[in-house]
Amino acid sequence: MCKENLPYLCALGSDPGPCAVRLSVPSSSNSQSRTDSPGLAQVWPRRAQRSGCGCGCGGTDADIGTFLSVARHQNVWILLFVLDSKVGRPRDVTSSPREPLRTCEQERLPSTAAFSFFTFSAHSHLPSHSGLMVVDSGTMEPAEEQQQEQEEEEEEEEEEMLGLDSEEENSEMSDDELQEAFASGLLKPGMNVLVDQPKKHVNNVEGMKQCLADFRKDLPWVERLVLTNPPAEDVLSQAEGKVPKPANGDVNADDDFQREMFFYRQAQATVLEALPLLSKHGIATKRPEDYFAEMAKSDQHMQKIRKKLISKQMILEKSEKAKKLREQRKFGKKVQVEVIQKRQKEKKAMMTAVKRYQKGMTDKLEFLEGDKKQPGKDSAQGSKKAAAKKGPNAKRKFKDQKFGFGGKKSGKKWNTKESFNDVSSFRAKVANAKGGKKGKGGKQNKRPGKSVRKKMKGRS
Amino acid sequence: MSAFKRKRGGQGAVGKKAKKAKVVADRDGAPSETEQGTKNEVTVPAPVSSGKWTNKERVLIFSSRGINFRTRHLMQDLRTMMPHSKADTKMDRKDKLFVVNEVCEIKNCNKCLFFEAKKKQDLYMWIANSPHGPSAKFLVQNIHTLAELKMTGNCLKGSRPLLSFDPKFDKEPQFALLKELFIQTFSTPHYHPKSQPFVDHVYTFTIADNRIWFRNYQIIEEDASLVEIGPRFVLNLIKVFQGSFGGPTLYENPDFKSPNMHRREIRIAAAARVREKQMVKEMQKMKRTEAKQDLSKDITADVFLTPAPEKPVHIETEAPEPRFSNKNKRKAMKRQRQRR
Repeated sequence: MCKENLPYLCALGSDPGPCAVRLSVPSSSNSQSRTDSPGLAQVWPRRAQRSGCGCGCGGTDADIGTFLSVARHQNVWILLFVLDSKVGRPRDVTSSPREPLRTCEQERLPSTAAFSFFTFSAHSHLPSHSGLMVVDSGTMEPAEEQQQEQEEEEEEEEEEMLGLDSEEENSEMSDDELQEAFASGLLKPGMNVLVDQPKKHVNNVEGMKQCLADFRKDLPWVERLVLTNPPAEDVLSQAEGKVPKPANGDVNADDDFQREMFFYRQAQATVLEALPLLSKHGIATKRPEDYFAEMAKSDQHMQKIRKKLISKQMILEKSEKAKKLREQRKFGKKVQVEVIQKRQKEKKAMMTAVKRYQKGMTDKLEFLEGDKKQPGKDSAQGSKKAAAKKGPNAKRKFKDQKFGFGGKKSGKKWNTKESFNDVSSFRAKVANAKGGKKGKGGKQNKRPGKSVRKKMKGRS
Repeated sequence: MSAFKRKRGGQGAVGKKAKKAKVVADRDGAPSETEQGTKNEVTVPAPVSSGKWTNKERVLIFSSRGINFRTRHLMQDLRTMMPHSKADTKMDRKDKLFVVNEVCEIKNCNKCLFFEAKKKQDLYMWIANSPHGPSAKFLVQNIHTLAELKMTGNCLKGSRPLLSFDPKFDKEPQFALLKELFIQTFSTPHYHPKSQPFVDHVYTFTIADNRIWFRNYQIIEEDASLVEIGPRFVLNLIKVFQGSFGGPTLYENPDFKSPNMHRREIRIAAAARVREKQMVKEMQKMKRTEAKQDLSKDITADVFLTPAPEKPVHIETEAPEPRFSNKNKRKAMKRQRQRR
């Protein structure tokens, strides 16, 4: 088919527009006219017909519209003609070339007639991919006024791309384009998958440098107080041999302590470097004692901070104490047990010694004196000495006095002045107690109940 | 204080030796105590900016609507720390960003720190040189404000800071540009009327994990012992533009992942795990319920069969010989013995 007629015009991805348009020319000298400009008179006015796909492998011919005019701009041919509203519907239109519009008018074209705007290159038999622009005049105006419509159509004959864009978006490459790309060798046979191009990140180094050069201000150091330096040497941790210095100087952002220490050391290095510079410029870093000025954080806030710190410390101390106490109790229990055991041992030793003496095995009374040689039990020894000093018990003394021999005893039970005035045996509590507990007032050392004993046991 | 003669003027050297009362009319601070020295005369120094303030930098710090309390406190903290800053009301989010330039012009500011909050979760910070200069957009993370009780340092309000940068800032062009921007924005100009004449804190900017970490330390001793004052935050660079709040993009951070994408990835990962588990369960179910093959022949049936060795078939043609049992013999012998 393509050999017979004028070049095909390929429409890019237009649906339901024609995918190619074949202009039929009656004369037979078409093969020559491919390279030259086709004789305009020959082309004109002909029926525009629709054909199949662009490479001419077949398709149906159908009249799509009426050819109107042609123009040439450099190497590009521009053909203008009117399409029928529904492509494929045959339409019998005869029109004269000179007054296209009026013929249309006479013919009473339907309101949805469309203009087509084709271009093709004269130098190749393949059309240039310049695009099909179809104007659907129906969208412009209401259908009734054809004249207005036609004026509109005339105005719209230049570039207008309406309604086809949405269809083009569905496929980036139309079938025809793909076929052509394949023919020219861009596509290889096999499974071709659409892949997104990797997103390119802008990195305009030259632009940035230029911008920096424009933007930079050269001020004396005093104005800006800037220093760039790596962190100071971490003397402490290196001495301990703990932290290995990262080889490339990059700090691990996830290790919180290391990271904060890195920042701290960087600040330290800056300060160390800056202090002499500041003193050189006469700027002080230490403010005098009497200088009171507003601070960034209010005094109230600082009080709160201090309280928090103190409370933290208290909590720490308390927990320390509690721990120690717990340890001590455990230790104390041990000590108590030991002491009891020791006492039992001593008692046993004492009893055996007494028995031996009683039985006459020994005649030494040294066991009575106890362990004088042991140091550090002075208080116990002292109390024992004191007890020994008192001599016989008060009870013994009384009994001796009462039942012992010698001395006047008859008047002993009468009151004397001294005994009457002696109020040492008066016990106010006993005298004033009204019906208190009998005797001593119960056992002094009341043994605690079972639950309390259990608790004590558990605690210790 | 009334009995003192006041001599105003730039008697700097003399003033330092004498014990004087530093009362400056422009300052907000409470009047200081006067040392009852031997001199009755008190030298009050001239206001700091007596014609010496040349570096006119003004920073406009404000935000869009929809910020939360932390951002608001951060902004207030920055305004406290930077005496050369100005505040403005919240900008409506409907307005386009270049409106910010106009706001800056109205306020006569040449730098701008603009905070933008999205979804009440993510905070973006713009730092820009207002009329023509470059600007940058960051995502701000890990904000800790001045009010946190763990930051125990304090500094004078409006004192000039030292700025400390990581050497990595000089290695790449985008960081060099950012460094210049930070310097011009954050450093308080010399002899600014609201500034204090002492340098007692230091800002650090460090690059770690492809982000910029900001810290503020108070200088306590001359031997560089420091305590943190705050605030602190982390900036994640998104883009650097040539113009202020617009213009051609100079640099785009390839490692930046928008917080939405981040959250989405987490959700997808979780969903994928759940789906995998479900699939595994379904496979197991299917295996259990599918019709099991009936094997006609058990291939393992004859594993343990040990057939006896084949013996030749022996057909007996003759009757076997009678056997004498022991039983009868023994009884017989027993009877014999008994009979005897």
